[in-house]
Amino acid sequence: MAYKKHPREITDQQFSTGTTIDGSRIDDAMSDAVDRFNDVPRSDIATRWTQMQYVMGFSKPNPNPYVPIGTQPFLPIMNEDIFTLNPPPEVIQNPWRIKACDMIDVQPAQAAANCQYAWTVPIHFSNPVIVDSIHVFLTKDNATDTTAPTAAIVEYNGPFAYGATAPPGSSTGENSEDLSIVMHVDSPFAPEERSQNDVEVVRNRFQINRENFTQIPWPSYATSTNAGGSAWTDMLPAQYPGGGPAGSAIILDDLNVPIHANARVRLAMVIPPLSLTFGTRVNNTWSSSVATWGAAYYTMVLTVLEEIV
Amino acid sequence: MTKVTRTKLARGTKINPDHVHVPLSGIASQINAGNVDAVQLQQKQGTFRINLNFASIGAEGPFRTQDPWSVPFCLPPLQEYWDVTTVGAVVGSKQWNTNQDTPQIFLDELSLGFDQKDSPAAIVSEGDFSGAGNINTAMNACDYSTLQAYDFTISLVEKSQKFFGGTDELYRADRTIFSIPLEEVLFSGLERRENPLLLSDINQAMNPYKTYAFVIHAPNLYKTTGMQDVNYYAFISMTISMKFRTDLVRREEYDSGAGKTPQNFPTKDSH
Repeated sequence: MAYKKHPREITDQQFSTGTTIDGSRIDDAMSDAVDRFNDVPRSDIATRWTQMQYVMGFSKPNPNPYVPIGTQPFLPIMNEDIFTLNPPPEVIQNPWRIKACDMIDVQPAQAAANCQYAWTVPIHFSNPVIVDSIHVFLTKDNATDTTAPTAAIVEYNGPFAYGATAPPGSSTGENSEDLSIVMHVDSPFAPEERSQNDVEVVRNRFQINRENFTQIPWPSYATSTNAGGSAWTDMLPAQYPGGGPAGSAIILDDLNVPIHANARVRLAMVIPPLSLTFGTRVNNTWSSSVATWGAAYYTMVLTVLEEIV
Repeated sequence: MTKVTRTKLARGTKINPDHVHVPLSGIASQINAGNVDAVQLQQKQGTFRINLNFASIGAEGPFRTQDPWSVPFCLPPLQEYWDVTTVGAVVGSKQWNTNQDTPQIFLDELSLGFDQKDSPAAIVSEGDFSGAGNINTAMNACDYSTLQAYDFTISLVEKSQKFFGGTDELYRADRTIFSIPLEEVLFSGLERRENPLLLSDINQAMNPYKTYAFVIHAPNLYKTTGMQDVNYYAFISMTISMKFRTDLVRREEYDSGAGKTPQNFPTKDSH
């Protein structure tokens, strides 16, 4: 049965046909009403949620993909003997770290050469919250120049298309579907067993190229005006010399996912094997000549709603 | 706006419509006008956070020279509560003032987490420190045997702002809000690791006119003879969230006729 609010939320006194009316009951009813209004409970407030943003981002210090760069903060999504510093333990915990991430033609069994990488952000919530949205941005200031920013403004050209060895069911040049976004919560009973995690949000197998946003050059105070037609007076930023922003914006809005108290949430962005230095797969363009992996600026924004206290 | 009041009905009082109408209409008018104040709420405080995320804090940073690593921040009062006066003989000497109406800010809790590859292990850094800019051959490896790198200390310190006369050229902290040593045992358990870690019920008042710094001191990330000398390690995706609570205040209003013209107030709505 659907929830129905109790008809006598404010006072237990009921005045209707067939009931008596007297000063004591009226006084009790007025007392209840005034007391409640002067001490309004949390449940009566529609705007009791405060929006919080967790903004995570980074850019590798070396934008040139042709010189060695490290993968961190992306770490392999596997734990295996080959990923340990000597000596490896007898038992490797969590051979698979992230449930539900799924990419076409990634063969998990071939871990050494075919390992995906994940950028994982752990967050602890002591009180219940509501996850409202997750935004992921893959951006560059200038898509054609992998070594230094220039003044030229061009469209983002991170291809996100399969290369010469396209996976089964796909063809060369076809839009790739090799990015996963997963938010999972540790089990309270087995907090270090990722196989027991609850997967709360996952987005797999989507064409990254379908999420591209239109780039607009950054304005500067010298060329832009406010609504009144005059130049801005309270901000005088010089135009950023690196070109306009461009890239992909993966927007997961209106999620409305409740998170329980004392939850350990892990938000992960999973990318395919990196072929340039690690592994051998070449059917994605994350490490191809246009430097999708090395030159991009990565951003994740987690929006949660927290209650007043 | 004050609380709603009513006339109590003593025994023998003749009942009039006003006994019911006045308090109810008072309630209705406050609700319709949006004038319900924080003093009329059971929950009188709201929360906000300062969230920090760092892709990798490794041996490459200040820990190479055994120095701590700090993130400064301040929590200035809302502009209607900004109360600064010029005092003294020194031109430009400023003094901040607070009173009982100034919303108080308390640090309630702090959470800190980083990516350990979901293992009871320390993660090897990506630099090899040979001077040639090479990648560490053991990059991303899990070191299950030596978690000494994750022996570190977190602190929150406070100092006076130069604007208000702080003159310490060494930028030393005036006060330590907390300083907590975190030992590797917290991050090496097989069944439970405190990662992300939660420090709750801190309940420390923050001064809106002071500067604070969150400090991490992790000297063992760097490979040093005589100390941790196995490899170079890193905190991957270090995420710090400081949760504060403060009094709820009325939404600021734009009323040029009454002289209320907050800076940068959006003017494209109905105010």
